[in-house]
Amino acid sequence: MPRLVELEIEAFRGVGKALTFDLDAEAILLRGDNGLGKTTVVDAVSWLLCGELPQLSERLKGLRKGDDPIVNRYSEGPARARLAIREGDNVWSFQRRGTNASSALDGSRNGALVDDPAHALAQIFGHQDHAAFSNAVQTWGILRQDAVRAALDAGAALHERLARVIGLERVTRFAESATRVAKELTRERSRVRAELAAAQQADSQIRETVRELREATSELSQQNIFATLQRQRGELPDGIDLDVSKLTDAAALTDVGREVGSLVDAAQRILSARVTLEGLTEDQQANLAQASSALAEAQRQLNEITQRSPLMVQLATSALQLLGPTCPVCQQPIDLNSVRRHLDELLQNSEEDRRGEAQARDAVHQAQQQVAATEQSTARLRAAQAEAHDAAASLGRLVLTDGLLQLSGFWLDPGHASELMDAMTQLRDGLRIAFSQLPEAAQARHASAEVAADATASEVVRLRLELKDLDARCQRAATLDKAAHAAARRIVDAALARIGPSFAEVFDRLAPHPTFTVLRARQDIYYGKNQIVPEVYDPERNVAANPLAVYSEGQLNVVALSYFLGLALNARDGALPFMFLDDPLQAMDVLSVLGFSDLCRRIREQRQLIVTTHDRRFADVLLRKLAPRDPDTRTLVIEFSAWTREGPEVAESSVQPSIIEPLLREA
Amino acid sequence: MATKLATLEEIGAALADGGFNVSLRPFRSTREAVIAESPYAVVGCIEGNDWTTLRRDVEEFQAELTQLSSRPPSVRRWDLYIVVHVLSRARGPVDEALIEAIEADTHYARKFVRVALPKGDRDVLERALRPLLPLRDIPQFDWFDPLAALREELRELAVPDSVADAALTSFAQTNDVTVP
Repeated sequence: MPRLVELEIEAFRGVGKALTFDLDAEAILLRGDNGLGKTTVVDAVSWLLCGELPQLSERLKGLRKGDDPIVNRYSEGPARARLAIREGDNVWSFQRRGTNASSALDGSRNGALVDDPAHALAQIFGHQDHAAFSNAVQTWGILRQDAVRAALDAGAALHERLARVIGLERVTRFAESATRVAKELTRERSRVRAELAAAQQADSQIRETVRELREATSELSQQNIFATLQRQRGELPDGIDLDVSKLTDAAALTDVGREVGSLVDAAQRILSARVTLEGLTEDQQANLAQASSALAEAQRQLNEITQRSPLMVQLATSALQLLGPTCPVCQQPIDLNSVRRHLDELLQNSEEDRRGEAQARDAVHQAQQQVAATEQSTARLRAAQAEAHDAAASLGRLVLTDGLLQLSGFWLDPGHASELMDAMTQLRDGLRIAFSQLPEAAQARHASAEVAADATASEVVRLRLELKDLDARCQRAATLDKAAHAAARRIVDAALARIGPSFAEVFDRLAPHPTFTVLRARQDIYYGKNQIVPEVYDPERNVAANPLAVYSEGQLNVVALSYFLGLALNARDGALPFMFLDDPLQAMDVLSVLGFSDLCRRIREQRQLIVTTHDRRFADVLLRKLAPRDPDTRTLVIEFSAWTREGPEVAESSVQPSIIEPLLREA
Repeated sequence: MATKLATLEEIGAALADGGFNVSLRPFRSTREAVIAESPYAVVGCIEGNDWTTLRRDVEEFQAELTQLSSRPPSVRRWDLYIVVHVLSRARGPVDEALIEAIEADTHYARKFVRVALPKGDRDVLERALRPLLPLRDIPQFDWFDPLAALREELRELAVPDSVADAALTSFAQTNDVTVP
């Protein structure tokens, strides 16, 4: 088990000149009046190990940054603290230099510097990182009386302390956060409900407005429209009828107008197709055959000319070159002039063939164009026939027997498309006149109101969905909130059951009260918040009380000390090999002092104990209690007798072992 | 039916378990007493049968114990303890005051008055003798994972997993619960 063996302090708080303290003992008692520097020793160890002194930083809040609480005012600084630690065969040395705001730690093992002194320091004491080690030191290793006593000062202080110490802080924060989110969701739901009510009211109002506008528009225009439509209806040819009784507003007029427009379009298509058909020869196939035949004849003539002409020209030209008084083949005398004249004629005819070839080519080209034109005409004819058929079919589809406009079968015949188009065009113009007779402002208001009504309806739907979602979330949040608090209560109860014996371990030894003899910590749910409150209990009378209400100041100190030491002695993470108790006794009676002294002796059996006290009575008792009983155990006393600007005047001494003679024979 | 009370033998056994060398021996003022000894303390235990003679019984026993422990080297004269087990309950405030008076007298020996300790209840007996016994090995409470504990509890409390998971995940990340 590692042991602190030596501490050196310089320029640190009340210590100016370097001071070295021997700590190589199971128990060290620092005794002396207040203000002589005992707590400085404890602070120096805390600063060295943790790198900070939170209680001093807290005290300096609001003060100027130059007011450094660590650097000694009578020294040049920086502050310095060095601690030697023995661990097995190794001797570690750690030194911190700096100020409250900034300091540096270095370390060595058996004289060799280590790379990461903070990590090495934590590892010596069984921690993986320095932050956790620092927390353990400040929570378990060094007990300052003001911190101990503060645990009972405020209502929630004990809860906060215990919750932090045993990890319950997160549990209660979770429960509080669940409550907060449940409240927020409830508020959100109320807001959305109010918004929905407002939107529903607006929707209702806008619908009423739309209804009123519709009625007003209808009343204003109905007479005009009716008269116009009746006229139109009277002008419709037989077989076409319009139900004017239902055409009372803009929407209905628009609908029937759209239907009439479609009929006009369909009739127009039929007529266009028919015009196309009429422009084309019916016997397109015969025309095509005739054009193809002409093309073939022209092609044949062209071929004949192009094959014949080059051969004749070649023969005549060669013969003219060989021409003489006798035949070059049979040697018979020939009529040279006659033969020459004949060959010249042949060459002249060949010239005519060339001209004929050009003409034949033109004829072929014209015949080809004729064939192409005939084919295009045929294609147009077929397309027009298809369009006419499709338009006729669409006309049949458009005429609805149960619509406002009714057409007899006569009008479905494409042959009457022209009349149908005339009739529908006329009807469409009449409907336009009727629509134009609707008051323009009323139309605009109506349209605007319809848009607004659509918007409010959408908003109502949106808000209803949001509210539905919020209802579900609120229900879940309420369930979670309730369960989170119940869970926190159960977890805290379980934790208190676990740590209860730790409190008793200390409290039962000090027994500060004759009747309230049991100390425990009780969970109290106050306004939905889990609190841990101290409680003392009289088992004889079954009466419980808050010690703050029934205990004296000295007895309360016992309670606070019991909570703290109990936790420190039993927390796994707090299992440091040393414990500093800085002036632990405040206003305690003799019995508590004796009990606490016995407790210190027991603590000394488990870990290195360093106690400071200004209480001479306690110091005397403690010295007797901690006196070694064997030569291998050391108890040191560091006496603080005065303080000067250089620092405290101290004297160290070792308590001599008291060898005992057993009264009883060993069993 | 009267409750059976712890005997001196039981008290001696508890002290023996606490590291004391124990002896049951007769004393002139009482029928018998337990003497328990460790390097740091000498403990004498007697039974008190009568509230009216209790103070005198304790003083006489203290005298004998002081004499016993004053043999040189007598370093333990500062560490004498007397445990008085009174076999009947206090009859009222007078007896209670008597207990306080006896315990408050720390001359020669520190005194503990214990009343009607039940037989066979080791926990009660150890609690009565706790100032004299070593620190117990209490099962150390572990740092536990609070969110894991919460998840377990929420499940037992029938919170749907999806709700618990979302809440715990967001809390772990932001310290704020969110509800899906």
